[in-house]
Amino acid sequence: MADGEEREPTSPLSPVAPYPRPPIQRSRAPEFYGFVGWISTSLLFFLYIFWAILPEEWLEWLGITWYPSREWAILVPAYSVVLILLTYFTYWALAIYSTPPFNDLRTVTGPHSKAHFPDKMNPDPYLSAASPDAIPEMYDIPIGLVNRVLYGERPKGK
Amino acid sequence: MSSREWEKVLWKKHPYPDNYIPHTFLSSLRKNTNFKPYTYWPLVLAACSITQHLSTVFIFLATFIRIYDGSWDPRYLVWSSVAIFLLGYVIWEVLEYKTLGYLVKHADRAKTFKSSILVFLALMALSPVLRTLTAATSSDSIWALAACLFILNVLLADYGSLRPYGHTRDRLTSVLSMNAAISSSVVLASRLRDDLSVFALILFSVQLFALYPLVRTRLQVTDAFTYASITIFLPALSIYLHSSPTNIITLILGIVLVFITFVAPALLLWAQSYKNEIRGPWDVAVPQINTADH
Amino acid sequence: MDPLRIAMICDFFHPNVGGVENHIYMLSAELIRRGHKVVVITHSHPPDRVGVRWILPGLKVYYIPFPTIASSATLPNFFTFLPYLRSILLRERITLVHGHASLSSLAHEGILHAHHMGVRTVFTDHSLFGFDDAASILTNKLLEGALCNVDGVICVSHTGRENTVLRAGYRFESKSAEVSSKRKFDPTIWHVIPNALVTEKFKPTLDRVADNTVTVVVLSRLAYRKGIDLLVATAPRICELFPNVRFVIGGDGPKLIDLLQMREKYLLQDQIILRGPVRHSDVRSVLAEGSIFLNTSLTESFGIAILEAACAGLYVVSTRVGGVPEVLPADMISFAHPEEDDVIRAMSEAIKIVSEGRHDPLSAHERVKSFYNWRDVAERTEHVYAGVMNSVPMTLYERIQRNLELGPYFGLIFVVILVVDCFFFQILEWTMPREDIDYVEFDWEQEKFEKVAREETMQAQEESSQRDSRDSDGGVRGF
Repeated sequence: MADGEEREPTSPLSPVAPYPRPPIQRSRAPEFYGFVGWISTSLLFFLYIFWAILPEEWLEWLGITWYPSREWAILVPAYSVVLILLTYFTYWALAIYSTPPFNDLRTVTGPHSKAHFPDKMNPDPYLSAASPDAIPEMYDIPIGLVNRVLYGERPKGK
Repeated sequence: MSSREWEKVLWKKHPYPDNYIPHTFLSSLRKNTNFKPYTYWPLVLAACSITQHLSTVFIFLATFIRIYDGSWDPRYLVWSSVAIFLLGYVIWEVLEYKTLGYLVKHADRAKTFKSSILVFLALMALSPVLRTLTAATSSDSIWALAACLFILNVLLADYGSLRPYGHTRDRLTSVLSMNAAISSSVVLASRLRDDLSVFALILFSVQLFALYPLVRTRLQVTDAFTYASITIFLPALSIYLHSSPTNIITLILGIVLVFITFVAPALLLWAQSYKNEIRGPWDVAVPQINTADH
Repeated sequence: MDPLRIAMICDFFHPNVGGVENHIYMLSAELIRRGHKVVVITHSHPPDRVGVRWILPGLKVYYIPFPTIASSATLPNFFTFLPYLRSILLRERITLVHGHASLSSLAHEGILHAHHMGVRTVFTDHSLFGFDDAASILTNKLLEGALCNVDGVICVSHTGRENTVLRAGYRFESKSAEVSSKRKFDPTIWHVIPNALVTEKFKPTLDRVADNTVTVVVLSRLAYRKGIDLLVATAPRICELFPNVRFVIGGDGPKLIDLLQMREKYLLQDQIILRGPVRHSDVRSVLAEGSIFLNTSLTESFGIAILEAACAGLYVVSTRVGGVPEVLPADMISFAHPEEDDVIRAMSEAIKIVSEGRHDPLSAHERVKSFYNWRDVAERTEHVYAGVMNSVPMTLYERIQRNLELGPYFGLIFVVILVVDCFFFQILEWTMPREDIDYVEFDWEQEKFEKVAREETMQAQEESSQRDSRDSDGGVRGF
């Protein structure tokens, strides 16, 4: 089906739509926005470099009598690196904060897990899922059943 | 079965492996479908509106400096503002006649003059308030604020020409742009010493930033020659007004204006050769709906 | 082939619902049936879906407690997942990582980290993306970085593969045939394996009342990308042309208001029925009401909804976008351009076909059944796995080389990420030594599960019969 899209009409019997489909005119404004963005970022980059490294006399010769203190040229990038590191630590902290302790019931099940268990046990979904050509159903397996399968028989006399 | 040719379908069982790349791979890829190369002079003409706008900003700044250091009498500025307004109004009427084909109605004209007198009087009454508006703020903050507002104004301004069928509803950004320029001139005016200077400067800024863009969008569609000559006049005026204080500013201004008018269009032309727009069947289709019956 | 130990990694998994979620689940279930061991790694769902859960049929799911930032995806950050991933891969003795979905940052990270532990990687891409909006540019860059480290890629349609190859940053000189790219392009790792569906769940109804009403079913999220504007424009015209047509529209979304307004404006309350949100388990019952399925999507990588409808015996009308033309043979589906007039044309054609009885739901069902099933998908995926396991792994130097090819700036950034990742891994090796890891000793055995399940059931039946008799006793005593 080389170029199939262009050659094969979708409507062999009643061609209402013009065929082949005329190309859609898209706005060209993004081209200009992109161009202005490109020019202004490169300009800003050079301004930043000049501000950061030109000697003071040169700047004065250029007629610039006031400019923000030059230590910011180092401080702002330094702060942003720290900010990125802080994002990592915050993210880890949030992950650790939302980790339940081992003795919390949420690590096994929870009150909202009811929806993940089958609502009627007859016919038993676990039994039917164990058969070789069952259609898989997304149900949680209760922890007792899991433990019996993984670690063997429940000790007698409970 | 094995002689079957490869087809771009998923439902059929192929003898080919799943990682078979057919010779038609990427045949539906389209590059630069509706690409029309730009030409230089129309781009320069389109860039003229940016040059003009920048020039008006610099003319305003030069005027402010003159009034601030007292080398210009604000009364002259008031009179010249009124003169510019009348001249601009005449040009406006001529342009309306040229583009729409009929004269402006008498009632409309009376309404325009009534409202302009109203604005004139309101500004006059407000100028003592505006003069003391930022008395508690230091001048350095005002300069920084004014610079930021003017940068905002330049970035958001509407540089397009008049839409052919009177699509006059302004976009939000162009309204924001005008507001930024007017606020900037208000905070600058509040640095001046007497009420008359404040009044003169704000009157002038209304001419430049609220009324002139209206004339400019109309000028842009009428005649390329007039438009170009105005584009020569305004930057020249702005450079002339800035030439006295320090030469370096004149130089920078000149470089910026030449860059925007002549170099930037050339750069855009050059950048076109790198254009690589890829389209294919995976793009979000644009639904075409008949608008006639809606 | 030898049983593998596979980790599926994706941000999108049960209890969320959706195409990707279902794909991962069905594929895992089928792979388990084929004797592999599969675990799924995803992020947690507060409040209580966290930690480890077992899902039928013996699928172990790790819910990592990462917060999500937008539409159930975690923050793309390249490193935070490594400690968790390392512990899981080691303790489960994973040999292959399979990441899903290009918006899932967990999958990207999994592919980035897996090579430290000598684990091979496969990635499945489920969706189509453009190239010209800011969000696509950003996500495509991330995908580019991930895909230069991957050993195998699976896409769900041929169009999807073309799209993913381009998004992975390969640019070709000639349009077709000899794919000569500026970057080294290895065509052998790019596979196409379609989605599938459980055909037993979508059986056509036979007891349909024989009248001349033709019911058109629309089931989709009511959003711009699903082409609801087209539906709003065409539905009143179709209702006018064919008074015996009835629309049943299921779904919810921002465009619902447009549909309601249209219905109000043309007074079509008895011809257009809005069902609101439909749960996936109720899809079949909604499909069973109709005989034509209309899909007006503006972009679609595979179109599982179309397949479900076709399987349920409906004749399908769809816009010709993305991977849709590949899904069904031409006599089961009518295509339309995404244009108002053309959709009406295709719909008229479909209504004619259906009302003349030229579309047989039962044979359609049988055909779809022969086209797609999960067993095939799993088998073909196994082939991909086998190819990946037999290939020679990239050395770190090779990885750095490939990353550098990504571009003068972006490539460098990615190399830095790669190298930092190596250091981070070494720190983890030192702080959390391998011998301290709690390895999994007991694996899930299907035979054992079967036995235990049978015992449990018998026990439960016994108990319930005892309880019943007790209850009846109690009832008597109570009187």
